[in-house]
Amino acid sequence: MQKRIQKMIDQMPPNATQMKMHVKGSSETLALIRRVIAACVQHLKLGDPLINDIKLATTEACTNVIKHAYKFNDAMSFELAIKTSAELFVVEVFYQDPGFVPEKIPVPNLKEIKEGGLGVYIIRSIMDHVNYITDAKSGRVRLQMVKLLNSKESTGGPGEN
Amino acid sequence: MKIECKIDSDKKIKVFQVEGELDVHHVKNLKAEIMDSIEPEGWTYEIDMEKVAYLDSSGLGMLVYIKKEIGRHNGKLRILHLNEQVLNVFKLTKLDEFFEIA
Repeated sequence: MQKRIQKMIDQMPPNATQMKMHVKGSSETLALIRRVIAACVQHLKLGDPLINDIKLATTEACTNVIKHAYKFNDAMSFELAIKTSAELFVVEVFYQDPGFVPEKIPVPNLKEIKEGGLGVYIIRSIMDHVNYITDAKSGRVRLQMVKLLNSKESTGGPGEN
Repeated sequence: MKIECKIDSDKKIKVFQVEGELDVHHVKNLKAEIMDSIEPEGWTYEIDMEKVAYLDSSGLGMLVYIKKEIGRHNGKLRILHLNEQVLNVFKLTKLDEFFEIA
């Protein structure tokens, strides 16, 4: 299933990109990002249930960039892109994080109540496909987060309960 | 983000009415406000989130921290009036079982 989704993403044509934003790496921008995402989902008439999940996943991803990769250095910036097809809604986040190894992201034990470490867990819970592509040479990270559209295979998520 | 605090000294209850979006940018204000108000012994703290339109893992993390700190002072934390979207984030992380939600 995950391989099939990845293949579908890889086969999306260049004109599948609806929007690309260059964003200041500051936590102040998170509210703006949510509004842009919501407006984009509404504009594409994809239905309100998707908005909450995509806003939440995108905010969690951008928070991780600002907090962990950029350490709140707002001189840094990242890019956010939205691509769509009849079957997919894809949010991509492009940023710099040399040394980042996706396989080392800890999986939280929900029985141990901690103050952090839930961001990627939430993203994986509400999106149908999450993929980190890293380039060790340049330190560039490309995070892909996907919602399946009009599919029974979608994991749903909190916005769809 | 707007935070208002109402205090009932007789009943030892402080109610924080919060308005806005609880992401990493805004959690510091609420955390500082509540931490500064923690009394030495046995108070109840209520956070009324009726006007909180958005919450994510940063907001949850802050609430976990506050609950632990209040617990250290033998106090209680109650979270009030979560909208469906925000309650779902608690449920997703099973923190609806950790907090007293009314």
